[in-house]
Amino acid sequence: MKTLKLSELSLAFKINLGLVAGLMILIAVGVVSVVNRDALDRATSGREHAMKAKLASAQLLSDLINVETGQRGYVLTGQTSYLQPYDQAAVRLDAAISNLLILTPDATDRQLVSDINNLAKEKLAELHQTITLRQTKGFAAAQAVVLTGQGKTYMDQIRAKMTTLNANEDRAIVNYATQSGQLQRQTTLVVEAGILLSVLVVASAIWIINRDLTARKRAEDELAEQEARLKAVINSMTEGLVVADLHGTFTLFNAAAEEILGVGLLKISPDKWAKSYGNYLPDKTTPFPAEQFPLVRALKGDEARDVEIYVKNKQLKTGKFISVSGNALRDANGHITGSIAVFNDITQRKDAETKLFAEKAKAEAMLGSIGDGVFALDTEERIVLFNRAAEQLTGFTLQEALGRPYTDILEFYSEKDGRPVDEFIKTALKGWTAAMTQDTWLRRKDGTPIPVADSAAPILGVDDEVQGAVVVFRNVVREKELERLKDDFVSIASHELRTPMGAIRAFVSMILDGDYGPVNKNLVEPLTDIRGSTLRLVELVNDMLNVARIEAGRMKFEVTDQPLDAILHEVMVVMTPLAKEKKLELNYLPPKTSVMVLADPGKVNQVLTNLLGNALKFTDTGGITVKAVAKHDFVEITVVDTGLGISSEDQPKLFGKFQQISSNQTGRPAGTGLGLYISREIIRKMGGDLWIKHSALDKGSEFAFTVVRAKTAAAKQVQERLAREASIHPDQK
Amino acid sequence: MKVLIIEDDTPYRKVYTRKFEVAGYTVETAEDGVKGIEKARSFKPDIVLTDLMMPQMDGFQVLDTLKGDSNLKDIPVLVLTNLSTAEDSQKVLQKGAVDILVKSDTEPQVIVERVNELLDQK
Repeated sequence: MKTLKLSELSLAFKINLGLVAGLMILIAVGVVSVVNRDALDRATSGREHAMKAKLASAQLLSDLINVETGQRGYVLTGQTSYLQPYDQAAVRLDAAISNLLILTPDATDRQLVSDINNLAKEKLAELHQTITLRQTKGFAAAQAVVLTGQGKTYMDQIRAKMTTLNANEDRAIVNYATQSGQLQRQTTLVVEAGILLSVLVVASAIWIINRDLTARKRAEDELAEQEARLKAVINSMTEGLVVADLHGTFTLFNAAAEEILGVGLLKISPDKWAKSYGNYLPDKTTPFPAEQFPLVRALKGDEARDVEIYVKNKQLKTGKFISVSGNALRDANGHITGSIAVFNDITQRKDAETKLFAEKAKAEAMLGSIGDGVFALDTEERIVLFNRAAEQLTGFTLQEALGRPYTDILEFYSEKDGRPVDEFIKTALKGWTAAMTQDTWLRRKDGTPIPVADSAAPILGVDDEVQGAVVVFRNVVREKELERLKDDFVSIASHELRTPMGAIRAFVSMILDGDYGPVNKNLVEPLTDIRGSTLRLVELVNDMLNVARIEAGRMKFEVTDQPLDAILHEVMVVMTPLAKEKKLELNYLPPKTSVMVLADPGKVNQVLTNLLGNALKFTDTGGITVKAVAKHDFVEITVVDTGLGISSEDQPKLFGKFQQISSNQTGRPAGTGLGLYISREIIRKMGGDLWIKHSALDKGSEFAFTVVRAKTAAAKQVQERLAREASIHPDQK
Repeated sequence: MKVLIIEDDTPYRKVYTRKFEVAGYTVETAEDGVKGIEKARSFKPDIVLTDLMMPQMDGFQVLDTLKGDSNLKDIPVLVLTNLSTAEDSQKVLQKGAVDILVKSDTEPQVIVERVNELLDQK
């Protein structure tokens, strides 16, 4: 049996319990009192009887004694007046005995009474005998009977029995007295206890009931407070909250609901809602069907989510879209008792969505018209965008591409080793733009390969987190062809130009050398001029080839760590005899300590040769000094001459293409006008610069160029740049 | 000393032939690679001078063939060309040529001196 807690019992029950308990106590007390009173009565009557019995037996004895005395008197005197008690005695004896029997309920006592009766009867019989004897025979006969003592014996026996009887009665009396006392005490006790108990019970009941009432009141207060709070919460919500009962009548309309709808709680049935609140389907014209309202659907257990309703009524300035979700309200047994709906104003969101669609359509239109293939990937490398050009280039349709990892359908691989090219996409997905490596090819759906180029860029979100990558690519078959043609053109052109020129030069040289026999003196000069012109032509072609290569980025640089001294020294060796020819001094001042530079030795050689060549050309007297000074990150090499110098107007023209300094050209072998331009481009490609430090007419000029020192940060940058450029144009010459 | 000149351009052929004859060499010429190999086998020159850009068989192939023939591989080959790419130079030297000179940039005399040098070394 479950133990009941006091608190779990209802208030009514507790009140009843209290009253019943009190009642029970009273009844108990009453019953006990009544029972005790009966007992008391019995005890009292018993005592009375016993006392009466004592009296009666005493009376009897006295009577008997009286009779005996009477008898004695008669015997002695013969007077019949003494016989009066004896006459009455028989009757009185019976009466007394009857009385005694009534008064002695106890069996032992009754036996005694019976014995006493018998003895008394015998005594009377004896007395009668004695009396009769006196009457008839006289005194002496009667005296003789008395003297037998039989009468006395009877009296003694009677006395003995009576004593015992009296003793019994005394005992009984004492018992009854004690009993009475006990009973009385008992009754008092019970009554007192009863009073106490009922007081306790009633007091407890009062206390418990009061406590319950207080608790109840407190609970009620709390409930009221909670309700108030809930109401506050409901009304502070920004979402509209409405509750309807089973009939579809509104029972709750929070503040937001009223604000959003413009109209408050109306006690109308659902089929009137559309009209009264101005609810339409998203098409803005069809009134919203009553059975489709989420609130109505929920009543049937159909809990709808995000149902869109257009609202426009007199109270609202402009129409708005709301998104409604409905839930059923159920009781403890799961039966639907009503429904609740929550809704939001989504007009802004819908506007944004419409705008977004428009933007998206625009973007898609733009993408569709771009000639390059464009596709975008999400962070899982799945294709989320694939424009028309991409479809055409790859042969895969948008449906085939969308949603799939790009590696499923697009195979970018290197022409060189056939290995997949995916670095540029992976780099983009890490957050940096990257170009496809040169010689990237793509396999179309039908298996045909096409050369492709371009790049991948990351798509960044609002917090600059990578959300994907966009790849742009195009078929570069034509471009590659063009490049090849360009290269071929340049090579072929230069080769073709050089061939006849070389031949002319060779012939003229040989004629002048006398290999075709002695030369007519008159012909020496013109032949020499021809040779000069030829040499110029050759130089021009070489220079133009170099310029073309540099401008196309197709000049190959092989930069390594080199000792600068060795490179410069080699040039000095070649130029010294030429300087000697013109009787000019040529000095070389190497750096204080041997220094390593990052350079293409051939190119440095070429540049210094060009500068020294110029110096020699324009210096008639004095000398040329080449000095190399190591600075922090680079080495500065200067070429100082004591030649003609260059005016300040002419200095800006120095490094331009085909610019010849107008003055002071007579008698000097003309240059191509490309030398300094080419030299500067070469030096710049290797990370340095070439410039004129100063020059003054008739004083001389000082040219300087820099070469980066090996193992410096600058050197690293140069190497990286050159490597990058080499990867884009691998066919460098 | 015998020198074989493989050159498709007639002026060059003529001028170099003249130059080497004046310098005292016995000269044979061929105007393309195929004829050049034939001549090499029959003439057994001490040195071969070859152009690169030739029809039918270019200088590279000539080099390969010469170096691939056990009878001819020891003959030094000097490449004369008007191409001047670093890659070509490397390629030629890798294939076993002893040197490469740009015709338009080089005096005929210099070529003769170079050949003298190369043959003296032997």
